[in-house]
This record gives sequence, C-alpha cells and structure tokens, in this order.
Amino acid sequence: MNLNFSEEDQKFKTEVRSFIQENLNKETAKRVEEGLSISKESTQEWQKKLASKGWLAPGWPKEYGGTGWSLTQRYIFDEECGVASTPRTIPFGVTMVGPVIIKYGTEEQKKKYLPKILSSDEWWCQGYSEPGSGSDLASLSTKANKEGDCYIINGTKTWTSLAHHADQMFALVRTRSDCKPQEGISFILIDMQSEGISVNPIVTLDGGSEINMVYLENVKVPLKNIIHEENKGWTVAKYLLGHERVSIAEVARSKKALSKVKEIARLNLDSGKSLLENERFMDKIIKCDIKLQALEYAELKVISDAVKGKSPGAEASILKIRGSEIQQEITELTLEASGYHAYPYQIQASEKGSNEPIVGPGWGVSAAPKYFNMRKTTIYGGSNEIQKNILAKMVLGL
Amino acid sequence: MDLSFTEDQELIKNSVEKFVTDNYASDKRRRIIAESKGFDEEIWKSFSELGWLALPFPEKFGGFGGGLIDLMILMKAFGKALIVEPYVSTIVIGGNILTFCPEGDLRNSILSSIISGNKKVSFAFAELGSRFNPYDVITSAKESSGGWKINGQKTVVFGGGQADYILLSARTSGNRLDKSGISIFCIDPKDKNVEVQDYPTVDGFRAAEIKINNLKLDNNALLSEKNKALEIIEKTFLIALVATAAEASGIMEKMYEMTLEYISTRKQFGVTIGSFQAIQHRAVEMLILSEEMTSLSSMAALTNDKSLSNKKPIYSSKINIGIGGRKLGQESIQLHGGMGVTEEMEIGQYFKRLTLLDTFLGNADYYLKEYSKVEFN
Repeated sequence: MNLNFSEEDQKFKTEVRSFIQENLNKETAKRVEEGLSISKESTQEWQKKLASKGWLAPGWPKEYGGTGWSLTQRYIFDEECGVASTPRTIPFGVTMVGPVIIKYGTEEQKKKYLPKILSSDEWWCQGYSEPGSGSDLASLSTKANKEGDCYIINGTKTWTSLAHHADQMFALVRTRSDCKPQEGISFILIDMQSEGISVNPIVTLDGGSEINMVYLENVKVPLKNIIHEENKGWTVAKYLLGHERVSIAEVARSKKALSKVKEIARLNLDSGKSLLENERFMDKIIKCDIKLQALEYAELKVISDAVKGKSPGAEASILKIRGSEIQQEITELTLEASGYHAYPYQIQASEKGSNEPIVGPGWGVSAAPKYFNMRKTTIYGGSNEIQKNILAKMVLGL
Repeated sequence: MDLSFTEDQELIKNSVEKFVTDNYASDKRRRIIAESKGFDEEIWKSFSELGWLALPFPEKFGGFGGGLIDLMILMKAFGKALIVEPYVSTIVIGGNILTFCPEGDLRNSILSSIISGNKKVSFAFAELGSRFNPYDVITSAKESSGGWKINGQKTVVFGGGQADYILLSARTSGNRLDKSGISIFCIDPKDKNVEVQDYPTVDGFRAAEIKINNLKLDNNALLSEKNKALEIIEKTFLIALVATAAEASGIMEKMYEMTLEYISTRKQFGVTIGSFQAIQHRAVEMLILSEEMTSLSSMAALTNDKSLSNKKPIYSSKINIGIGGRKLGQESIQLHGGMGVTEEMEIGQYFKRLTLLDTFLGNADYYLKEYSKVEFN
C-alpha cells in the first residue's frame, strides 16, 4: 500500500495546474470560490477552453475524443479543478448522455450528438423526475405513443436542471403500460426546440432558478431518437447511474470549501479576536475535516480498486451519503462563521456585472443562500434514504 | 404548581391565533415581503388596536404590564404564522431599551408613540467586527460644545430602515471592549449625517447598514445614563431571547405539522411515504424536538416572568434553537424531498427564519459560553 503518485502522475499534475492557471478566467474563479451563481457564458468559456485542449471529456474512450487518462490522472484533474475553483463541467452532456450514446447509440446518433457535446456547443438536460415520480422513478408516466415515424410525447418532467439553457434533453418515457413498470420505459433524446415544449423555472430557497418544470404537450420526436431499444430504457438508465462514480463524493470541492471556512475563521471577526481562538467553533471544523479525510481515503480506495478492474458497486452509495452530508456541514460552518453578515439578502447585488453594492464582507453574501440550497444534496441523485436502501439490500443483504 | 395558562393568557392566545388565521395567510405575508417597506400598515394598526404594541410595557406608560408569559404566547403564535412585521425590533427590543432608560421628555414621548403605533424604533448595536458581543462598541460619542458628536458604523440593524428613531449604542468613554463607557443615544435616521442603507434579509425581514458621520446631537439625545448602558442592553436582550425562543417554538411546531401533513399525503411506491417506518421514526423525533423547544421556551418565560433573575433557562432555550431547531429544520426539508427546497413551499420560508433565529442576538456557541459562565463562575 502506498499513497504516492508516480513521477508521471506528478508531472501530469503540474501540467494540469499550469493549464488551469493560464486559461481560467480569474473573475469566474473568484465567483466559484465565493459560491456565487455562474452564468452560462462563464461556464461555456471554461468548457470551450477544456474542449480545445481535448480535456472536456476525460471519461470517454480515446477514440471518441476522450483523454485516455488513467483513473489516477482523472482524480488528479478533478482535484486540481477543485483547488483552483474552476466552474464545474455541466454533467448532463459530457458525463451522462455522452457515455450512454457511446455505449448504446447508433452510428448516426454518435455522429449527430457526440461532436457537439465534445465541443460544448450543445447543452443537455435530464428528463427523469416527474411530480409524482421522485424516489420511485420507475412509476413515471410521461407517455410516448407511436404515430407514423414519430413518438408523440405528453407529460411533465420536474427538477430539470438547466433546461432553460439546454438544446437537447435525454428523457425516460413510458412506451408500455401493460407490464412491470421498469419494463415499459424507454430512453429517448428530445430536441428542446421541438414544438409543444415549455420550460417553467422553479425558484429555489436561495432565490436562484437553475431548475425547471418542463411540460411536454404533443411533442413529436422521431422514432430513431430512441437509445438502445424500445422498453429497454431502464437498462440504459442503470448503466448511466453506474457509469460516473468517481467524483460523486465531491472531495476536492469540499476540501476547497472547508479551506475557505478556515480562511474566514482567520479573520478578526470575533470581537477583536479571530475564530481560531473559539474552540467550540474550531472543534467543529476539525470534526468535519476528519470526516472529509475518511471520505477521501474511501474515494481513493474506490479508484484504486477500479484501476485493478473491480467496479465500485453499492459502496459508491457510501460516498454519496457522506459526501453530501459533508457538503452540507461545510455550508453550516460558513453560516456560523458569518455571524450577522449572513443576514443581508443580496441576490441582485451578487449577480455578475451588477452595480448594486454588496452589504458587508463579500464572503457573507452566499453563506445563507448556500446553506439553504445545499439541502438538495441529500435529496437529489437518489436521496440518501434511497442510498441507504441500496446499501441495506446490496451490502448488508437485509 | 399549575402549568396551565390563566384566563387572561388564554384570551391573548385565542385572540392572536384567531387574528393570524384570519389576517395573515401566506400569500399576504409574501406580498408584504415583496413590498419595499417590509411591513403592512393595516396589520400594524391592528396590532395596536389589539393591544399587542402595549403588551410588554408598564401601565404607567400606557402599557398593559404584560409579563414574559404573555409575550411568549404572542410570539409563539407570531412564529406559527411567520409574522414579518418589526415587532421584535420595535416593541421587544426598542421598547424595552426605552423602558429601562431613565424617564425624560424624549424617552417618554417616543415610548408613547410606539405604544400608540404611530412610530417605530430600532436599536443599532452590532458593528462590523463585534460578532455577538454587545459591549464591543467602537462607534463613538464625544462631548462637544454642550452636546455630542457621533461617528461610527452599525451593521445589520434589524428594522433600521423601517424606524422613525434609531436608538444607538455608542462609546462615551474607555476602550473598545470596556463594559462601562457605553451610552444609548436617539438619532434621526433622516439626518444628513446619517446614512441608512435598507435591505431585505434572507429570512424575509429587513435590516440596514447605518453610517454616522460627524452627527451633532443635543444633550437630551442621550437616553441612558452616561457610560451605563450595558446593563440596559443586557436586560433587554434577555427579554428578546425569551421572545425569540417562543417564536422558534411556534415555527418548529408548525414545521412539524406541515411535515406530518406532507408525509401523510405524498405517495411513492404506491403508498404514502409516512407508512415507512424509517420515516415514521424521524417524524416522531421531530415531534419530540418541537415539544422540547416549547418546554424550554416556557421554562425561560415562567422563571423570569416577574423579574429577570434566571439567565440559565433563557440561555437554554436560545441555545436549543441552534441544536434542536437546526435538526428539526433540516429534517423537515429532507422529508419534503425536492419540494422542500422550492421557494413556493411554505416549509422553506419557516426553515429560513428558524435558521437565522439561531444567529439572532448570538448563536448557540455564544450562549453555551455565557451559560458556562453563569454555571461555573
């Protein structure tokens, strides 16, 4: 056992670091670090830089435009992005539907969709959840009825992140009802410009509107837009879920966020002293740090096993549970450190390019909104309750 | 021993509960928050007519001489309805600061104007680096030609933009962290030497940043005895903590009720999610957390009802907002799933207020330290 990176990995790390330094917009990085909203343009700018370097899709096979990196290198890359506060790569195209198309898509589908994902020209969203189907996803009821060479799709999708920016949606739709729910679902690609689609923003507790309700009313989608086979959508969805597990724990981002809390604690905020002298508070930071260390090791173990060809399986649920809890805990600590400076609600002032002055110190601006918004991490991606069900069944054998 | 309410207390309880049910639905509150003033004139008038603006004040000033239990009853109901009017900043904090200040023309006239509902006040105490310490005061008041000259800055002044008078803590002698040397002045927020930046807070209320630059005041603007205001501030905050704990208990009770309602109707896997034992146990835990908050809030009010002599139960109740309150708040959002993080659902509005009530006047860590001072010194 050893924790050392090889010389080659070390060299790679330096290369990544200097690439980021040369290409990352400093203002964007600052906004990421402060936890403020990142515009489509800023994300696009960064993704395009990665794309032109050939680094946007590390998870793809090399022949499709992937990087051919080892898992260790991918880990290093994520870590460096986290430390430098790059915008997150929007996952829906690159890490979600991309690998699905590579695995199950027809040649035509590959030609049509993959290049535009790889160049970050087309943005995707995910049409899974519905108002009545959250944790019980298989009960989804958006219907796709065959008519000539098209499906006619009717239904409502919800919690659809970035649907308002998306050019395409990958969706799960019901193509059969006279069978087990899982056996009548198809995975289909929908052009967001199609007639009959309307996107309504859902305002979240932080005042943002990144998620949407998407209404599909008699939307015509060509039969050839189905991925894999009709009624095999559940298989595709499971593949998608199992595909991207390495960064699920968000260790690199959490390490950065926790170091930010430590920075705030160093300021002289506590009546002439710094919070470093406040043991009650410092103990909480350290306890969180300890959990994060355990999570980091667990994540490295998953990577190390995966390098040896052992797939992570249900243990990845542990990473999701702890990773999301730690993300939330860090926002709690930031809120506590902020004291009264967490009070002002300044969503307008914190928008990019706003002329409104920020009240109080800049780092206080996002403390409360972030705490509110990050409650979502234990709810999305398969809620932590669902993750515990998976563990109880698959690992504990109960 | 009798832990039931008196007839008078039952009357207050019924009247405030009826009022908020009839007049303060969630869409009404959301409208009030969206308006720039952040409060509703008619609602404030009703508070006055119903006697709530007079409730905590001695009868000789035109008050009703209510005790902390009365205040608790009122604030719990305010919490349940998530009242955003500046009752705590004007009446509970501003009013009590005035009550504890020595009698004088200015003090008496402001007090009667807030009791009648014509005016509002706000107490400006926090400074950029003071965190929760009320005697960390840099804002200075220097004697100058028969009056005072004020310079300084106050941060997150609750209800500061809504106030007709700002009550201000300022240092009249000594150094930054000295406990003596603090005095309370009355300043006019419209004076050209006073800059008030009003803004909404994340929990639906309003606050302001206040900068004071060479403001000249007459001698009569000094409301407290010179150098001796800290005791007034501390006594006032103890009362405000009782009000805050009561508000939190109302919020938590409501959040528990809303969550129970949600898990009893939300269906997944063909059944209500409340039929799962894992969810049932968490809902029961929420009930217990809510009851605990009510118990601590009641104990704080009861043991200090006639005189402020028992700090520990007050601290306990405030500390629990940051412990039990935080736990209940987070659980209620989690059990609402995705709906819990939407602005549209009521649960989130309560969650925000409850979260910030931990910070209000000092968070759990701050009062754990204060508690420990009382217990072990």
